[in-house]
Amino acid sequence: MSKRKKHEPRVPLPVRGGIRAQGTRSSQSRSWWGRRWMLMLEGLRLGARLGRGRQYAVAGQVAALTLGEGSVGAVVQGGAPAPYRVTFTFRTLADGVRGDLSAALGAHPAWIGRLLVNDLPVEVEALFRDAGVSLFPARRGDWVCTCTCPDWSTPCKHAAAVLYLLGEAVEREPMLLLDLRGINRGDLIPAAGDRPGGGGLRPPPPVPVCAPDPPADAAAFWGDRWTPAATFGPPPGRMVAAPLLTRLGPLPFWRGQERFREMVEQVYGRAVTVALQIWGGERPDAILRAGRPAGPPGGFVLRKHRMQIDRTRL
Amino acid sequence: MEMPLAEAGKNGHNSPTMVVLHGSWLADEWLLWGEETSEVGGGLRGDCDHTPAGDPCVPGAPEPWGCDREALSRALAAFESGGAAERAVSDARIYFARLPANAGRIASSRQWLRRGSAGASVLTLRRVWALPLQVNELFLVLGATSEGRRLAPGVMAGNDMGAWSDLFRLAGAVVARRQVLPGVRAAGDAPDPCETPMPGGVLPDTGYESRWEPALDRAEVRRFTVLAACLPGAALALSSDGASAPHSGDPLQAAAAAFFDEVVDRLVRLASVTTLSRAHAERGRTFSAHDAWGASLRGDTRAIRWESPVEIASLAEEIARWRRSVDLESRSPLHLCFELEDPPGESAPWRLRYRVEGLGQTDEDPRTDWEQAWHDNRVDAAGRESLLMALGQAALIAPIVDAGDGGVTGATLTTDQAHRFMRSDAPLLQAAGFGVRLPPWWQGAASHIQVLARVTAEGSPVAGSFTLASLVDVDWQIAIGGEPVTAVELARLAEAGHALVRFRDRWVEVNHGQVNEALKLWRRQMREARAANDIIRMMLGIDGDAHGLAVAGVEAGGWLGQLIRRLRGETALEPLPPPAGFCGTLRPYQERGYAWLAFLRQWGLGACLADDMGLGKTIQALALIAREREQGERRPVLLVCPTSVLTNWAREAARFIPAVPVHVHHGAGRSVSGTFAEEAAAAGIVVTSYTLLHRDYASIRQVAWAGLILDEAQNIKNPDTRQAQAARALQADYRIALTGTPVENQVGDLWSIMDFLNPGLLGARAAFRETFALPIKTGIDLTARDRLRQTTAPFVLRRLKTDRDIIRDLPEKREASVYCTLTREQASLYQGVLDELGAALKNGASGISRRGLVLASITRLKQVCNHPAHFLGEDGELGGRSGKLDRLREMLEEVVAAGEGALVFTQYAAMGTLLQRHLQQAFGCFVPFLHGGTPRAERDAQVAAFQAHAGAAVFVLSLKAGGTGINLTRANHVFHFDRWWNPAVENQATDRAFRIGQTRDVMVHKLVCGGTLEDRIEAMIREKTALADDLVASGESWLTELNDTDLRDALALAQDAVGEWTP
Repeated sequence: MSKRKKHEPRVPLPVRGGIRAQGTRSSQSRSWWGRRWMLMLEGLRLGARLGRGRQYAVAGQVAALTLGEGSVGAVVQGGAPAPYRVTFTFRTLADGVRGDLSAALGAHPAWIGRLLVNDLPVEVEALFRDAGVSLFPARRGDWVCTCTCPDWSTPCKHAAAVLYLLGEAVEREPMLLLDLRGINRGDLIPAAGDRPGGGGLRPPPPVPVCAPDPPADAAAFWGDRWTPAATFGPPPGRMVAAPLLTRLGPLPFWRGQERFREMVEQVYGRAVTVALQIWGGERPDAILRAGRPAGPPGGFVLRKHRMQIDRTRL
Repeated sequence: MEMPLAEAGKNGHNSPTMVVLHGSWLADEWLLWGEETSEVGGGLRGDCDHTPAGDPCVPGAPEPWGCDREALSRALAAFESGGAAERAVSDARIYFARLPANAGRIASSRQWLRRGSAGASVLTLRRVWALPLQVNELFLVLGATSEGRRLAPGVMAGNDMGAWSDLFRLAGAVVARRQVLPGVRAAGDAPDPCETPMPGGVLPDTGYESRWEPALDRAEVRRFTVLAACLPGAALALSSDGASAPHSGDPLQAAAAAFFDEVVDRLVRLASVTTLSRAHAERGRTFSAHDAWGASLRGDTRAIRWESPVEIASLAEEIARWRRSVDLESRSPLHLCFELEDPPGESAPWRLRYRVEGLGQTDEDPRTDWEQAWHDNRVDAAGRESLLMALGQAALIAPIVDAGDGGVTGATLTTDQAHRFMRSDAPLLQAAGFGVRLPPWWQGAASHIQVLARVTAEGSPVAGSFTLASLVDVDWQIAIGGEPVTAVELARLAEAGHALVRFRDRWVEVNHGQVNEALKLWRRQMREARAANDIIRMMLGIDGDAHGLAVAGVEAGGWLGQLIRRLRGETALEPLPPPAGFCGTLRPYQERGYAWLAFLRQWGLGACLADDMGLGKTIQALALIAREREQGERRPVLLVCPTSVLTNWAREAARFIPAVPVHVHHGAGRSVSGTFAEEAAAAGIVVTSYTLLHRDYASIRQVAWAGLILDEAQNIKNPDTRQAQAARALQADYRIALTGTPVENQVGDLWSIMDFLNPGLLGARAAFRETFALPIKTGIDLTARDRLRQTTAPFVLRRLKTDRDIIRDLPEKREASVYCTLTREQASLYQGVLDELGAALKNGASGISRRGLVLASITRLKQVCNHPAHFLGEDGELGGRSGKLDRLREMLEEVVAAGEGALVFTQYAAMGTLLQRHLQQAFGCFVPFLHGGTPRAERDAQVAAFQAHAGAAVFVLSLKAGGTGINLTRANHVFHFDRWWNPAVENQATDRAFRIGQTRDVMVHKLVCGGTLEDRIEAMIREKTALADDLVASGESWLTELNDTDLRDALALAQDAVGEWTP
């Protein structure tokens, strides 16, 4: 490294709206594939560049990131006014191997299903290993990296920042790992000669849509008669606090102070009481209470209180 | 609460009006508007249209149609609607409504004027006043609608409101099932891009808003579509400019969806916003876009405030990707299901099959195997993806789905795995929206190990020898699936070490904690002494727990066995001869009712006698009181009833059990405290009203009461009222509730009455609501109604007139006089007429003039007895001013509640109009009134509608109207509101209801004001039948032949006639 470079200001120029890495803390909450990616990154022996790359990723220095089939392009803002361009090219699988692997996965719909809902069965890695390839691009030959920065050691800190962000993307969407190796959704979900854009089944012949104005007939206009509906569906399940969240898993990339699931479960818990009363045709107390004027704004007092606390801290 | 009705209609009508409210959806707002319908002239005016004739029907026309804002405000003030009533005056605006019109006249909603079809009509533009409701007002208005379409006297909800309220309740159900996800949407009005950050660190509006969005699975979508299809055109009738808004697809469905979206979000917010979260949403610190979103989700406003709109946009994309599988599923007609099958042999593995619903298989088995569905060429890529995603999600929830043979068509499970699947995975999968079918023997949460109680209680239930506090011996018997097991078998189950064990040729879930409890019980005490009360409670299903094990059943011998079998109604009660002092005859079913009352009384249990009106609840209760007296009871019985029937009770008691002294505690001159206690102690029955029960509670509670009887016990259905609290607090040896309304159908009302009768039977009120009321009302627990019935059935006796063995006991036509009281207003008017007459007689009127004077006075007195408004010829409020009218309404409410029909006869056309008006307001539907002036065509239409069960169950007729040829056999109750005192005329009227083809018997009620001329003439006719035959045929004219003294006696106002007490 030249002397001039040593004295160059190391502070990169700030980026507005850059992609910020969220996993700044320990890796304990990670999935097994997320941890494997980090191990892979550490295995590259980047030394200080890994740390700098992480700082870049956390600071949001990566201005853009595009994922293609077997390739990743990124724009990273360094210390120089012009941002650098980073490109990764991953070695895709040979057609034969790809076909074999797709077929092997196809025999396990549940694995594909789990991949589609962002889970990665450990068996998939074994499947890759059996086919003689690795799921993770761990070997040097698995990918090639270029960067427009003057640093000639590869991967540079800019590339490390991109790998860092890529790891987070893989963490939340393990299907990316397969994408990088050239296996995409289309390979896994055989479309048996159908048209795109269907809703599940082939659409029935279109029914003519009619209903412009309200009906002129007095009976249809006012309604013939109304008797309260007899049923509004089955009882809520008792065992699960948030069935849809259980089903969907956590919202990826959550950056809130509270835990997402706890927040939603708390809201559900409050809402269910009121909702049951409405369902039962009763007028809930919450609404009667809400009907009254809210009184002195309680939020103001709280805010004042909180500000006082802040001040004492200072 | 203020009375809602306008004393005068806005167009100068002098009569109160009926308001029908409607709700329309317009551009994200729910607008309330209304029709105002006048009640002129006995409903002879057809569909009302307040628009002056020749209204040019163009925008800008001077006179808007329907309710103006004052009328809206009055209607909203009549029921709990938040601040809407006040807002209506200031915030209601003019909108354009497209309404169906017929020959230039708007065809009104006719839900209360329900008559023949109007024929084809065209949409006509009118201007109407409408009020955009705020969220809490909307919730209150729709909540009120779901309790019934009659919102308040004179205020009705239209069919469209009903359909909206159903959608509203579905929104409640969807939220209760937690089919809701948080989301982000672009706000309709984009924020100013140049907006600078506000002072004080408040973040700028991003132009996105947070939303709680319904995430419906296919079943929910189906439910929604069905309810949305019920919305009538009126739900979209309004527009702001008179033009029809552009719609794609079905506009009503779109409006329903928009409404549903709005309501779900508002509902969740309303419930989850707290003072803290509101402050946080408004001014709190946020550290990320997610924080900003999370805060906004729990704020009053939806706007998300954050520095970077781009981040919110990408959050929206993330959320869309995240919930993609749920959206895919709701759109896809394919539905993944799991079916667990019994293994073919004891040691063979279990099979979990993956099946797909929605490919149109046979009705018996609507599902196809996964393999078959996968290769079905009707399934396209999106369908496959949705199936795969569903499978992946199921695997995340229940790892077993992914285990076994790799799972193309299913998985193979060991017995322990199968148990885990049934116990923990299946409910999770079900909750997540997957179809799950388990073997039929699996009982979910129910335990398989139970105890049976075998009770030996020697002796027979001779009165007094045993009480419910007596101890009985209980032998506990361990049972599995209802069958007794031995200790050895139990021990073997415990040793097996599996959660699911084959036992006596079937699968049994073994909970080892329960097995240990059972073994412990075996070792320690299989026999113990318990109070009979405990056993009764077990039998009723109240305490379903003994030593930590569920009680499967109770087998009892001896006296307790007899008691239990009688309570369950398995063995008939021993017939009980009526007491000697009872002057009258009990019909066989009344004897049974009396024996039942005596049986429960013997054990100190409260009884609710809920026989149909007219079956004689009064005399059954009186017989019991007489029996108690004869058995040596010296303490009095407190009988509480509505003011309108006080006289009736006193008279019935005097007639049927003359030996028991009756004290009526009522009126301004009633005694209090010490004096009252003395008077009460001297009496056998103290009759008082519900009002005085709590007013004079301090005096009443000092008396030692033998029994407490509530007539029309539905008066205490609301446990918060003072009278209900007083009734529950009073001490008495036995308690009886009499009611003619089917209490068991009104879950909400049952608790108070039952808690009065048998305190603690249904638990605390909150617990009752939790375990019975809400599950029954929402239908979420289908066993709740049965459990409630099991618990309450021993204490409720309800016989219907239509019961086969009751009909056998009844004569074809029964007549009863119903004694009513006068209000103070009536009494003073009555006295005024008497004074006038007295003065005139003193002045020596004689001959023709005396005759005319007397006849006129009698007519006026009869009018006073009917209603002050009838006498005064005025047009004001009717309720609460006439004892007779109030009593009639009470009785008609019972008739209507029982699904029966009634004819109400009056001899005065003016009174008929008043009756019609009052009953229309009370029942919220058109009540026909047939009188001499009714055109033939209209008369025929009304009669036909009544006979066809269309519209009201009540028909008002003038006594002379129509003469002959009217067939009104739908009615099985006939009320004579005032008397002609001519049996021939009255019988002819009664026969309208009593014709060939009438399958039910007919009950005739003759309303009589006690202590007035009506009462005395009635008595005279009864005593002097000869007189009746000769003279009464000519109506009232024979009264003019009486001399002054006799006349004064006949017309005088007795002290006890007034039934109203004012401080």
